[in-house]
Amino acid sequence: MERAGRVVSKEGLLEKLYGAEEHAGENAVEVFVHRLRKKLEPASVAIRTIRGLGYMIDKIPHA
Amino acid sequence: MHENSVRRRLLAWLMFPLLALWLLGALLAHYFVVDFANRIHDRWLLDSTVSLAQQVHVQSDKVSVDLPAAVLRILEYDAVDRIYYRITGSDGRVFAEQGRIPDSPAVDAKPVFYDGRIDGTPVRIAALRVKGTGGSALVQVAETLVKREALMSEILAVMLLPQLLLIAMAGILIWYGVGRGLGPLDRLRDDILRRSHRDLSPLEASRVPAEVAPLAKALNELFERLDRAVAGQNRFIANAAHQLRTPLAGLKTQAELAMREDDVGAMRAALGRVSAAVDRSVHLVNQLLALAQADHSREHPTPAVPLNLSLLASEAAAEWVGKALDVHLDLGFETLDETIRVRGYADLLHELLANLIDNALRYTPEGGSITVRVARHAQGCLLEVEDNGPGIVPAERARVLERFHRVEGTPGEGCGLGLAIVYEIANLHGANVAIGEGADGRGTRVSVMFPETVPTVEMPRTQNASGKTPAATIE
Repeated sequence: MERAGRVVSKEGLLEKLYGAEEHAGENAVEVFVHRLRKKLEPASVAIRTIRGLGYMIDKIPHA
Repeated sequence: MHENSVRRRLLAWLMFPLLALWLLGALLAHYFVVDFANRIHDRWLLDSTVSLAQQVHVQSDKVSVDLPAAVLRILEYDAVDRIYYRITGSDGRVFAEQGRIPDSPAVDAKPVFYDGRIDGTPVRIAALRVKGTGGSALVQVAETLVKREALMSEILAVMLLPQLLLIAMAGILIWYGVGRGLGPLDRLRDDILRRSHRDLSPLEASRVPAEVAPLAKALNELFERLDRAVAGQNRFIANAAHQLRTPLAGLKTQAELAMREDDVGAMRAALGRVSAAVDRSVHLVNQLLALAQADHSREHPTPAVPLNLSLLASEAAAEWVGKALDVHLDLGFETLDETIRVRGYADLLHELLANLIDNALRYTPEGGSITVRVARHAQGCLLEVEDNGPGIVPAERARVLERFHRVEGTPGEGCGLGLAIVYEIANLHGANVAIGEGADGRGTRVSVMFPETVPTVEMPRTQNASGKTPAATIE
Protein backbone atom coordinates (compact mmCIF):
# COMPACT_ATOMS: atom_id res chain seq x y z
CA MET A 1 0.00 0.00 0.00
CA GLU A 2 2.99 2.29 -0.01
CA ARG A 3 2.53 2.49 -3.70
CA ALA A 4 -1.06 3.56 -3.54
CA GLY A 5 -1.79 6.39 -5.94
CA ARG A 6 1.33 5.75 -7.95
CA VAL A 7 1.25 4.39 -11.46
CA VAL A 8 3.41 1.37 -12.16
CA SER A 9 4.12 0.47 -15.75
CA LYS A 10 3.82 -3.01 -17.15
CA GLU A 11 7.51 -3.13 -17.79
CA GLY A 12 8.15 -2.10 -14.22
CA LEU A 13 5.96 -4.92 -12.94
CA LEU A 14 7.58 -7.40 -15.28
CA GLU A 15 10.96 -6.48 -13.88
CA LYS A 16 9.84 -6.72 -10.31
CA LEU A 17 8.19 -10.08 -10.82
CA TYR A 18 10.60 -11.89 -13.05
CA GLY A 19 13.81 -9.93 -12.77
CA ALA A 20 15.72 -8.52 -15.72
CA GLU A 21 16.66 -11.97 -17.00
CA GLU A 22 13.43 -13.58 -18.10
CA HIS A 23 10.93 -11.80 -20.22
CA ALA A 24 7.76 -13.68 -19.67
CA GLY A 25 5.73 -11.36 -21.88
CA GLU A 26 2.96 -8.88 -21.21
CA ASN A 27 0.37 -11.58 -20.95
CA ALA A 28 1.98 -12.87 -17.82
CA VAL A 29 1.62 -9.45 -16.20
CA GLU A 30 -2.04 -9.22 -17.13
CA VAL A 31 -2.74 -12.64 -15.71
CA PHE A 32 -0.90 -11.77 -12.55
CA VAL A 33 -2.80 -8.52 -12.11
CA HIS A 34 -6.09 -10.30 -12.72
CA ARG A 35 -5.34 -12.78 -9.93
CA LEU A 36 -4.13 -10.05 -7.62
CA ARG A 37 -7.34 -8.12 -8.20
CA LYS A 38 -9.46 -11.01 -7.10
CA LYS A 39 -7.46 -11.46 -3.96
CA LEU A 40 -7.42 -7.81 -2.99
CA GLU A 41 -11.09 -7.09 -3.64
CA PRO A 42 -12.31 -8.23 -0.23
CA ALA A 43 -9.82 -5.80 1.33
CA SER A 44 -11.32 -2.87 -0.57
CA VAL A 45 -8.21 -2.45 -2.63
CA ALA A 46 -8.61 -2.03 -6.38
CA ILE A 47 -6.03 -2.23 -9.08
CA ARG A 48 -6.90 0.18 -11.78
CA THR A 49 -5.74 -0.16 -15.34
CA ILE A 50 -4.43 3.18 -16.57
CA ARG A 51 -4.60 3.42 -20.35
CA GLY A 52 -1.14 3.38 -21.87
CA LEU A 53 0.61 3.76 -18.54
CA GLY A 54 0.18 0.63 -16.43
CA TYR A 55 -1.59 -0.05 -13.16
CA MET A 56 -2.39 1.78 -9.98
CA ILE A 57 -3.53 0.65 -6.56
CA ASP A 58 -6.55 2.49 -5.28
CA LYS A 59 -9.11 2.15 -2.54
CA ILE A 60 -12.46 0.86 -3.68
CA PRO A 61 -14.98 3.56 -2.81
CA HIS A 62 -17.81 2.23 -0.71
CA ALA A 63 -20.78 2.19 -2.97
CA MET B 1 43.26 58.70 -20.74
CA HIS B 2 42.27 55.71 -22.78
CA GLU B 3 44.99 53.48 -24.15
CA ASN B 4 42.95 52.89 -27.24
CA SER B 5 42.90 56.34 -28.85
CA VAL B 6 42.04 56.81 -32.52
CA ARG B 7 44.14 59.93 -32.64
CA ARG B 8 47.17 58.24 -31.15
CA ARG B 9 46.74 55.28 -33.37
CA LEU B 10 46.54 57.39 -36.52
CA LEU B 11 49.48 59.43 -35.37
CA ALA B 12 51.55 56.34 -34.63
CA TRP B 13 50.60 54.77 -37.98
CA LEU B 14 51.65 57.95 -39.72
CA MET B 15 54.69 59.09 -37.78
CA PHE B 16 56.60 55.88 -37.30
CA PRO B 17 56.63 54.86 -40.94
CA LEU B 18 57.33 58.41 -42.02
CA LEU B 19 60.25 58.75 -39.66
CA ALA B 20 61.58 55.35 -40.70
CA LEU B 21 61.34 56.37 -44.34
CA TRP B 22 62.96 59.69 -43.58
CA LEU B 23 65.82 57.89 -41.87
CA LEU B 24 66.27 55.58 -44.83
CA GLY B 25 66.21 58.58 -47.12
CA ALA B 26 68.78 60.30 -44.96
CA LEU B 27 71.12 57.32 -45.17
CA LEU B 28 70.81 57.17 -48.94
CA ALA B 29 71.26 60.93 -49.20
CA HIS B 30 74.35 60.77 -47.07
CA TYR B 31 75.88 58.22 -49.38
CA PHE B 32 75.21 60.27 -52.49
CA VAL B 33 76.19 63.58 -50.97
CA VAL B 34 79.56 62.20 -49.92
CA ASP B 35 80.04 61.00 -53.47
CA PHE B 36 79.15 64.37 -54.98
CA ALA B 37 81.24 66.37 -52.55
CA ASN B 38 84.23 64.17 -53.19
CA ARG B 39 83.83 64.42 -56.94
CA ILE B 40 83.75 68.21 -56.77
CA HIS B 41 86.71 68.58 -54.46
CA ASP B 42 88.71 65.81 -56.04
CA ARG B 43 88.66 67.79 -59.25
CA TRP B 44 90.18 70.80 -57.54
CA LEU B 45 92.68 68.59 -55.78
CA LEU B 46 93.59 67.12 -59.12
CA ASP B 47 94.08 70.60 -60.53
CA SER B 48 96.61 71.36 -57.83
CA THR B 49 98.31 68.05 -58.37
CA VAL B 50 98.54 68.57 -62.12
CA SER B 51 99.90 72.07 -61.63
CA LEU B 52 102.61 70.69 -59.40
CA ALA B 53 103.27 67.76 -61.71
CA GLN B 54 103.84 70.12 -64.65
CA GLN B 55 106.82 71.59 -62.83
CA VAL B 56 108.39 68.19 -62.30
CA HIS B 57 111.02 66.98 -64.81
CA VAL B 58 112.38 63.50 -64.89
CA GLN B 59 115.67 62.77 -66.53
CA SER B 60 116.83 59.22 -66.10
CA ASP B 61 117.26 59.04 -62.36
CA LYS B 62 117.20 62.68 -61.65
CA VAL B 63 114.06 64.40 -60.71
CA SER B 64 113.94 68.11 -60.56
CA VAL B 65 111.19 70.46 -59.57
CA ASP B 66 111.13 73.72 -61.34
CA LEU B 67 109.27 75.70 -58.82
CA PRO B 68 110.34 78.76 -56.92
CA ALA B 69 109.61 78.65 -53.20
CA ALA B 70 107.10 81.46 -53.44
CA VAL B 71 104.99 79.49 -55.87
CA LEU B 72 105.17 76.46 -53.65
CA ARG B 73 103.95 78.52 -50.78
CA ILE B 74 100.96 79.64 -52.86
CA LEU B 75 100.26 76.03 -53.61
CA GLU B 76 100.29 75.28 -49.94
CA TYR B 77 98.08 78.18 -49.07
CA ASP B 78 94.51 77.43 -48.17
CA ALA B 79 92.40 79.38 -45.74
CA VAL B 80 90.58 76.37 -44.44
CA ASP B 81 92.38 73.16 -45.21
CA ARG B 82 96.02 72.17 -44.96
CA ILE B 83 97.79 71.00 -48.10
CA TYR B 84 100.68 68.54 -48.19
CA TYR B 85 102.74 67.27 -51.08
CA ARG B 86 105.40 64.76 -51.92
CA ILE B 87 107.38 63.99 -54.99
CA THR B 88 109.03 60.61 -55.18
CA GLY B 89 111.33 59.14 -57.74
CA SER B 90 110.76 55.73 -59.31
CA ASP B 91 113.22 54.21 -56.88
CA GLY B 92 111.28 55.56 -53.94
CA ARG B 93 113.67 58.38 -53.15
CA VAL B 94 111.82 61.40 -51.91
CA PHE B 95 112.76 64.61 -53.64
CA ALA B 96 110.40 67.04 -52.06
CA GLU B 97 108.02 66.62 -49.21
CA GLN B 98 105.72 68.65 -47.09
CA GLY B 99 103.97 66.40 -44.60
CA ARG B 100 104.16 62.65 -44.15
CA ILE B 101 101.80 61.48 -46.83
CA PRO B 102 100.91 57.81 -46.57
CA ASP B 103 101.94 55.65 -49.49
CA SER B 104 99.64 55.36 -52.44
CA PRO B 105 98.38 52.24 -54.09
CA ALA B 106 99.82 51.54 -57.54
CA VAL B 107 99.56 54.54 -59.82
CA ASP B 108 100.00 54.23 -63.53
CA ALA B 109 98.69 56.51 -66.23
CA LYS B 110 95.59 57.69 -64.46
CA PRO B 111 95.46 59.74 -61.27
CA VAL B 112 94.42 57.88 -58.17
CA PHE B 113 92.46 59.26 -55.24
CA TYR B 114 92.56 57.71 -51.83
CA ASP B 115 91.99 58.48 -48.17
CA GLY B 116 94.53 58.42 -45.43
CA ARG B 117 95.75 60.14 -42.28
CA ILE B 118 98.52 62.60 -41.64
CA ASP B 119 99.39 63.09 -37.97
CA GLY B 120 96.06 61.54 -37.10
CA THR B 121 94.04 63.95 -39.23
CA PRO B 122 92.07 62.40 -42.08
CA VAL B 123 93.09 63.61 -45.55
CA ARG B 124 92.20 63.04 -49.17
CA ILE B 125 95.17 62.28 -51.41
CA ALA B 126 95.61 62.55 -55.16
CA ALA B 127 98.54 60.70 -56.79
CA LEU B 128 99.83 61.30 -60.31
CA ARG B 129 102.73 59.71 -62.19
CA VAL B 130 104.95 61.92 -64.25
CA LYS B 131 106.78 60.12 -67.02
CA GLY B 132 110.04 61.36 -68.28
CA THR B 133 112.99 60.04 -70.21
CA GLY B 134 114.27 56.95 -68.47
CA GLY B 135 112.02 57.07 -65.47
CA SER B 136 109.03 58.48 -63.72
CA ALA B 137 108.14 60.36 -60.62
CA LEU B 138 105.15 60.13 -58.35
CA VAL B 139 103.49 63.35 -57.38
CA GLN B 140 101.11 63.26 -54.41
CA VAL B 141 99.03 66.07 -53.03
CA ALA B 142 96.93 65.67 -49.87
CA GLU B 143 94.40 67.96 -48.29
CA THR B 144 92.37 67.82 -45.09
CA LEU B 145 88.63 67.34 -45.32
CA VAL B 146 87.29 70.44 -43.66
CA LYS B 147 85.83 72.02 -46.79
CA ARG B 148 84.46 68.73 -48.01
CA GLU B 149 82.73 67.97 -44.79
CA ALA B 150 81.31 71.45 -44.59
CA LEU B 151 79.82 71.03 -48.04
CA MET B 152 78.37 67.64 -47.21
CA SER B 153 76.82 68.90 -43.99
CA GLU B 154 75.31 71.88 -45.71
CA ILE B 155 73.75 69.85 -48.51
CA LEU B 156 72.39 67.24 -46.11
CA ALA B 157 70.98 69.86 -43.79
CA VAL B 158 69.27 71.67 -46.61
CA MET B 159 67.78 68.41 -47.79
CA LEU B 160 66.81 66.68 -44.56
CA LEU B 161 65.83 69.37 -42.10
CA PRO B 162 62.92 70.73 -44.14
CA GLN B 163 61.70 67.14 -44.53
CA LEU B 164 61.76 66.69 -40.79
CA LEU B 165 59.92 69.93 -40.39
CA LEU B 166 57.26 68.80 -42.85
CA ILE B 167 56.84 65.54 -40.99
CA ALA B 168 56.44 67.37 -37.72
CA MET B 169 53.85 69.66 -39.25
CA ALA B 170 52.01 66.67 -40.67
CA GLY B 171 51.92 65.22 -37.19
CA ILE B 172 50.47 68.37 -35.74
CA LEU B 173 47.88 68.60 -38.50
CA ILE B 174 46.84 64.98 -37.94
CA TRP B 175 46.51 65.58 -34.23
CA TYR B 176 44.37 68.58 -34.80
CA GLY B 177 42.50 67.09 -37.75
CA VAL B 178 41.45 64.00 -35.85
CA GLY B 179 40.16 66.16 -33.08
CA ARG B 180 38.03 68.08 -35.53
CA GLY B 181 36.98 64.92 -37.35
CA LEU B 182 35.73 63.33 -34.16
CA GLY B 183 33.76 66.42 -33.24
CA PRO B 184 30.40 64.95 -34.32
CA LEU B 185 30.97 62.10 -31.90
CA ASP B 186 31.00 64.60 -29.08
CA ARG B 187 27.56 65.73 -30.16
CA LEU B 188 26.44 62.11 -30.20
CA ARG B 189 27.85 61.62 -26.73
CA ASP B 190 26.03 64.67 -25.45
CA ASP B 191 22.80 63.45 -27.00
CA ILE B 192 23.10 60.11 -25.27
CA LEU B 193 24.16 61.64 -21.96
CA ARG B 194 21.17 63.90 -21.92
CA ARG B 195 18.72 61.02 -22.16
CA SER B 196 16.99 59.56 -19.17
CA HIS B 197 17.17 55.81 -18.75
CA ARG B 198 13.67 55.58 -20.12
CA ASP B 199 14.41 57.42 -23.34
CA LEU B 200 14.92 54.81 -26.04
CA SER B 201 14.16 56.99 -29.04
CA PRO B 202 16.47 56.50 -32.04
CA LEU B 203 19.67 58.56 -32.46
CA GLU B 204 19.90 61.12 -35.23
CA ALA B 205 21.96 59.09 -37.63
CA SER B 206 22.13 61.87 -40.22
CA ARG B 207 24.56 64.02 -38.27
CA VAL B 208 27.03 61.24 -37.63
CA PRO B 209 30.17 60.64 -39.77
CA ALA B 210 29.91 57.83 -42.34
CA GLU B 211 32.34 55.56 -40.52
CA VAL B 212 30.36 55.74 -37.30
CA ALA B 213 26.93 55.48 -38.94
CA PRO B 214 26.86 51.66 -38.66
CA LEU B 215 27.51 52.03 -34.94
CA ALA B 216 24.67 54.51 -34.58
CA LYS B 217 22.40 52.22 -36.58
CA ALA B 218 23.26 49.24 -34.38
CA LEU B 219 22.57 51.35 -31.30
CA ASN B 220 19.20 52.37 -32.70
CA GLU B 221 18.28 48.77 -33.35
CA LEU B 222 19.30 47.91 -29.82
CA PHE B 223 17.12 50.75 -28.51
CA GLU B 224 14.23 49.39 -30.50
CA ARG B 225 14.65 45.90 -29.12
CA LEU B 226 14.99 47.26 -25.60
CA ASP B 227 11.93 49.39 -26.10
CA ARG B 228 9.86 46.42 -27.20
CA ALA B 229 11.16 44.28 -24.37
CA VAL B 230 10.46 46.96 -21.79
CA ALA B 231 7.02 47.60 -23.24
CA GLY B 232 6.30 43.88 -23.14
CA GLN B 233 7.41 43.65 -19.56
CA ASN B 234 5.34 46.66 -18.59
CA ARG B 235 2.27 45.19 -20.24
CA PHE B 236 2.83 41.93 -18.46
CA ILE B 237 3.25 43.59 -15.09
CA ALA B 238 0.18 45.72 -15.63
CA ASN B 239 -1.85 42.67 -16.66
CA ALA B 240 -0.58 40.57 -13.80
CA ALA B 241 -1.28 43.29 -11.25
CA HIS B 242 -4.75 43.75 -12.64
CA GLN B 243 -5.41 40.04 -12.59
CA LEU B 244 -4.13 39.59 -9.06
CA ARG B 245 -6.47 42.26 -7.76
CA THR B 246 -9.55 40.18 -8.41
CA PRO B 247 -8.77 37.05 -6.43
CA LEU B 248 -7.15 39.10 -3.68
CA ALA B 249 -10.22 41.34 -3.45
CA GLY B 250 -12.36 38.23 -3.26
CA LEU B 251 -10.05 36.93 -0.54
CA LYS B 252 -10.50 40.04 1.54
CA THR B 253 -14.26 39.85 1.19
CA GLN B 254 -14.32 36.21 2.20
CA ALA B 255 -12.09 36.88 5.19
CA GLU B 256 -14.28 39.74 6.37
CA LEU B 257 -17.36 37.60 6.00
CA ALA B 258 -15.71 34.86 8.01
CA MET B 259 -14.87 37.29 10.78
CA ARG B 260 -18.51 38.32 11.03
CA GLU B 261 -19.74 34.80 11.60
CA ASP B 262 -20.63 33.90 15.15
CA ASP B 263 -21.43 30.32 14.46
CA VAL B 264 -18.24 28.24 14.49
CA GLY B 265 -19.54 25.91 11.83
CA ALA B 266 -20.43 28.79 9.55
CA MET B 267 -17.13 30.42 10.26
CA ARG B 268 -15.33 27.21 9.40
CA ALA B 269 -17.23 27.05 6.13
CA ALA B 270 -16.37 30.66 5.39
CA LEU B 271 -12.72 30.03 6.18
CA GLY B 272 -12.91 27.10 3.79
CA ARG B 273 -13.94 29.53 1.09
CA VAL B 274 -11.04 31.82 2.11
CA SER B 275 -8.70 28.89 1.71
CA ALA B 276 -10.09 28.17 -1.74
CA ALA B 277 -9.58 31.80 -2.70
CA VAL B 278 -5.99 31.59 -1.48
CA ASP B 279 -5.56 28.51 -3.65
CA ARG B 280 -6.78 30.42 -6.64
CA SER B 281 -4.36 33.28 -5.91
CA VAL B 282 -1.51 30.86 -5.43
CA HIS B 283 -2.40 29.20 -8.68
CA LEU B 284 -2.40 32.55 -10.47
CA VAL B 285 0.96 33.50 -9.02
CA ASN B 286 2.42 30.14 -10.03
CA GLN B 287 1.14 30.55 -13.54
CA LEU B 288 2.59 34.05 -13.71
CA LEU B 289 5.91 32.71 -12.57
CA ALA B 290 5.76 29.94 -15.16
CA LEU B 291 5.12 32.54 -17.82
CA ALA B 292 7.96 34.70 -16.58
CA GLN B 293 10.20 31.66 -16.58
CA ALA B 294 9.31 30.95 -20.20
CA ASP B 295 9.97 34.58 -21.08
CA HIS B 296 13.27 34.51 -19.24
CA SER B 297 14.34 31.37 -21.05
CA ARG B 298 13.71 33.12 -24.30
CA GLU B 299 15.84 36.10 -23.32
CA HIS B 300 18.63 33.97 -21.89
CA PRO B 301 18.78 30.83 -23.97
CA THR B 302 20.81 27.88 -22.78
CA PRO B 303 21.53 24.96 -25.08
CA ALA B 304 18.58 22.63 -25.65
CA VAL B 305 19.24 18.95 -25.08
CA PRO B 306 17.77 15.86 -26.74
CA LEU B 307 14.88 14.47 -24.70
CA ASN B 308 12.67 11.43 -24.96
CA LEU B 309 9.30 13.08 -25.54
CA SER B 310 7.35 9.83 -25.25
CA LEU B 311 8.81 9.18 -21.82
CA LEU B 312 8.40 12.77 -20.68
CA ALA B 313 4.72 12.77 -21.69
CA SER B 314 3.94 9.40 -20.16
CA GLU B 315 5.56 10.42 -16.89
CA ALA B 316 3.64 13.70 -16.82
CA ALA B 317 0.40 11.82 -17.46
CA ALA B 318 1.20 9.34 -14.66
CA GLU B 319 1.61 12.29 -12.26
CA TRP B 320 -1.94 13.45 -12.91
CA VAL B 321 -3.67 10.07 -12.87
CA GLY B 322 -4.48 10.31 -9.17
CA LYS B 323 -6.14 13.67 -9.53
CA ALA B 324 -8.01 12.47 -12.62
CA LEU B 325 -9.41 9.54 -10.70
CA ASP B 326 -10.51 11.89 -7.91
CA VAL B 327 -12.76 13.69 -10.36
CA HIS B 328 -13.74 10.45 -12.06
CA LEU B 329 -11.96 11.11 -15.30
CA ASP B 330 -10.14 8.51 -17.35
CA LEU B 331 -6.63 9.81 -18.07
CA GLY B 332 -4.56 7.69 -20.40
CA PHE B 333 -1.51 7.76 -22.60
CA GLU B 334 -1.02 6.65 -26.18
CA THR B 335 1.98 6.25 -28.37
CA LEU B 336 3.16 3.96 -31.12
CA ASP B 337 6.79 4.69 -30.43
CA GLU B 338 8.29 5.01 -26.98
CA THR B 339 11.49 6.60 -28.22
CA ILE B 340 10.37 9.76 -30.00
CA ARG B 341 12.94 12.42 -29.19
CA VAL B 342 13.07 16.18 -29.50
CA ARG B 343 15.52 18.89 -28.62
CA GLY B 344 14.35 21.05 -25.75
CA TYR B 345 14.14 21.80 -22.07
CA ALA B 346 12.75 19.09 -19.79
CA ASP B 347 11.39 21.36 -17.05
CA LEU B 348 9.62 23.66 -19.51
CA LEU B 349 8.08 20.78 -21.43
CA HIS B 350 6.96 19.33 -18.12
CA GLU B 351 5.27 22.65 -17.36
CA LEU B 352 3.66 22.64 -20.80
CA LEU B 353 2.25 19.15 -20.25
CA ALA B 354 1.07 20.04 -16.76
CA ASN B 355 -0.88 22.99 -18.11
CA LEU B 356 -2.48 21.00 -20.93
CA ILE B 357 -3.52 18.17 -18.64
CA ASP B 358 -4.69 20.52 -15.93
CA ASN B 359 -6.85 22.35 -18.46
CA ALA B 360 -8.38 19.11 -19.67
CA LEU B 361 -9.09 18.04 -16.09
CA ARG B 362 -10.70 21.33 -15.23
CA TYR B 363 -13.05 21.58 -18.12
CA THR B 364 -14.02 17.96 -18.80
CA PRO B 365 -17.07 16.84 -16.85
CA GLU B 366 -17.09 13.69 -14.76
CA GLY B 367 -17.06 10.41 -16.60
CA GLY B 368 -15.12 11.86 -19.48
CA SER B 369 -11.76 10.77 -20.78
CA ILE B 370 -8.51 12.51 -21.53
CA THR B 371 -5.67 11.16 -23.64
CA VAL B 372 -2.09 12.31 -23.79
CA ARG B 373 -0.56 11.28 -27.09
CA VAL B 374 2.86 11.40 -28.70
CA ALA B 375 3.20 10.51 -32.38
CA ARG B 376 5.47 11.08 -35.33
CA HIS B 377 4.16 13.21 -38.13
CA ALA B 378 5.25 14.57 -41.47
CA GLN B 379 8.37 16.53 -40.61
CA GLY B 380 8.61 16.11 -36.90
CA CYS B 381 6.46 14.90 -34.07
CA LEU B 382 3.24 15.66 -32.30
CA LEU B 383 2.31 16.05 -28.67
CA GLU B 384 -1.44 16.11 -28.08
CA VAL B 385 -3.85 16.28 -25.22
CA GLU B 386 -7.35 15.36 -26.21
CA ASP B 387 -10.51 15.34 -24.15
CA ASN B 388 -14.20 14.71 -24.77
CA GLY B 389 -15.39 17.71 -22.82
CA PRO B 390 -17.42 20.63 -24.14
CA GLY B 391 -14.76 21.72 -26.64
CA ILE B 392 -13.82 25.22 -27.79
CA VAL B 393 -15.83 26.95 -30.49
CA PRO B 394 -13.80 27.82 -33.58
CA ALA B 395 -14.25 31.53 -33.00
CA GLU B 396 -12.52 31.33 -29.65
CA ARG B 397 -9.72 29.00 -30.63
CA ALA B 398 -7.23 31.69 -31.54
CA ARG B 399 -8.04 33.80 -28.52
CA VAL B 400 -7.67 31.11 -25.88
CA LEU B 401 -3.90 31.24 -26.42
CA GLU B 402 -3.88 34.86 -25.28
CA ARG B 403 -2.91 35.76 -21.77
CA PHE B 404 -5.70 36.12 -19.25
CA HIS B 405 -8.32 35.13 -21.77
CA ARG B 406 -11.13 32.91 -20.57
CA VAL B 407 -14.03 31.90 -22.73
CA GLU B 408 -17.22 33.49 -21.52
CA GLY B 409 -19.44 31.30 -19.48
CA THR B 410 -16.71 28.84 -18.61
CA PRO B 411 -17.29 27.23 -15.27
CA GLY B 412 -14.43 26.70 -12.90
CA GLU B 413 -11.75 29.02 -11.64
CA GLY B 414 -8.83 29.02 -13.99
CA CYS B 415 -6.86 32.21 -14.46
CA GLY B 416 -6.63 32.20 -18.25
CA LEU B 417 -2.88 31.71 -18.43
CA GLY B 418 -2.61 27.97 -19.00
CA LEU B 419 -2.69 27.99 -22.79
CA ALA B 420 -0.65 31.19 -22.93
CA ILE B 421 2.08 29.35 -21.07
CA VAL B 422 1.75 26.40 -23.42
CA TYR B 423 2.06 28.79 -26.35
CA GLU B 424 5.18 30.49 -24.97
CA ILE B 425 6.95 27.25 -24.19
CA ALA B 426 6.02 25.77 -27.57
CA ASN B 427 7.43 28.85 -29.26
CA LEU B 428 10.65 28.49 -27.36
CA HIS B 429 10.95 25.01 -28.83
CA GLY B 430 10.11 26.17 -32.33
CA ALA B 431 6.83 24.28 -32.09
CA ASN B 432 3.36 25.27 -33.27
CA VAL B 433 0.19 25.05 -31.19
CA ALA B 434 -3.08 24.10 -32.88
CA ILE B 435 -6.50 23.81 -31.28
CA GLY B 436 -9.08 21.53 -32.74
CA GLU B 437 -11.76 18.98 -31.91
CA GLY B 438 -11.29 15.60 -30.38
CA ALA B 439 -12.46 12.33 -31.87
CA ASP B 440 -15.94 12.34 -33.46
CA GLY B 441 -15.79 16.11 -33.62
CA ARG B 442 -16.39 16.46 -29.90
CA GLY B 443 -14.25 17.84 -27.15
CA THR B 444 -10.92 19.59 -27.48
CA ARG B 445 -7.60 18.53 -28.89
CA VAL B 446 -4.56 20.71 -28.36
CA SER B 447 -1.70 19.69 -30.64
CA VAL B 448 1.87 20.85 -30.22
CA MET B 449 3.85 20.19 -33.39
CA PHE B 450 7.59 20.01 -32.99
CA PRO B 451 9.49 20.79 -36.17
CA GLU B 452 12.03 18.01 -36.09
CA THR B 453 12.95 14.94 -34.21
CA VAL B 454 16.29 13.89 -32.85
CA PRO B 455 17.50 10.50 -34.14
CA THR B 456 16.64 7.68 -31.85
CA VAL B 457 19.37 6.38 -29.64
CA GLU B 458 19.11 3.47 -27.24
CA MET B 459 18.81 4.94 -23.77
CA PRO B 460 20.02 3.06 -20.70
CA ARG B 461 17.43 2.03 -18.14
CA THR B 462 18.78 4.06 -15.28
CA GLN B 463 17.90 7.38 -16.86
CA ASN B 464 14.51 8.99 -16.78
CA ALA B 465 12.92 11.14 -19.44
CA SER B 466 15.18 14.13 -19.04
CA GLY B 467 18.22 12.03 -19.75
CA LYS B 468 19.69 12.50 -16.29
CA THR B 469 19.95 10.09 -13.41
CA PRO B 470 17.11 10.88 -11.02
CA ALA B 471 19.31 12.30 -8.31
CA ALA B 472 20.36 15.08 -10.62
CA THR B 473 16.88 16.14 -11.66
CA ILE B 474 16.10 19.75 -10.93
CA GLU B 475 13.15 20.11 -8.60
